[in-house]
Amino acid sequence: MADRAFTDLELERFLAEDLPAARRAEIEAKATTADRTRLDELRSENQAFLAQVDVAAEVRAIGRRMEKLAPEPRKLATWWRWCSPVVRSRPRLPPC
Amino acid sequence: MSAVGEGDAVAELYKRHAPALHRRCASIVGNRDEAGDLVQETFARYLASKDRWDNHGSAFAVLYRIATNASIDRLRRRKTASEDELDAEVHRGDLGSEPRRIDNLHDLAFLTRGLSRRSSPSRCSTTSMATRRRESRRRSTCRAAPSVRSSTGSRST
Repeated sequence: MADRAFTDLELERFLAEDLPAARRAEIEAKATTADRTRLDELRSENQAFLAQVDVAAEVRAIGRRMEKLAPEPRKLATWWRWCSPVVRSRPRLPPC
Repeated sequence: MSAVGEGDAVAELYKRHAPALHRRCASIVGNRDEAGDLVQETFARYLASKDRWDNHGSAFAVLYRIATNASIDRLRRRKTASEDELDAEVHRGDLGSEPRRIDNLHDLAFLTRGLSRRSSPSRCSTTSMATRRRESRRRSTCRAAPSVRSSTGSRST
């Protein structure tokens, strides 16, 4: 599109209220007709998406996935487990 | 923060960012259901290591990056799986037992790439397998024909 002043990503960030105030004001002031049309499209797509999704169920599913992603307790590195007896049994060198 | 409050915060975060992430994932993997799954994965990954992301700019930027990487990973895994499947089919020699549908350009591109990457001997072996299969199908048809004739003959006597 030739007469677009802002990218889709910027418009997405605008809708997600993720832009700094100055950039937000700039978009509001300088957006072309094509930008505004795209912004309306994105806004209606967002609403349609949220209308068809059960947010509470999604949050529960995310919680379940987070439990699976929980990091396991750290084990001693394998090489260290093999090396540590050798290092311990090695006689100390005299200081130079 | 209490569990309820935390849930509300996650719900708020989801409402604010999920549509854009869903669009992003769907544009990469080309499947809306899979994109929904990827959005869940993105939020789970983000929230599981939220402390790590605090100094990495806005939540949107981090979520967008995670979603993009997760989608590319998924696409890569899918490609590897279908490549393995194709290889297994070639090894088993039942390429022609079931017609393989070429659903979209992506599949077509993948198949072409797979063929061009294969060395010529294996391509020859695939061709010869196909020829052998055609031969065996023709032979089985020929074998079926006398039995039909004989059954007809027995009925006439």
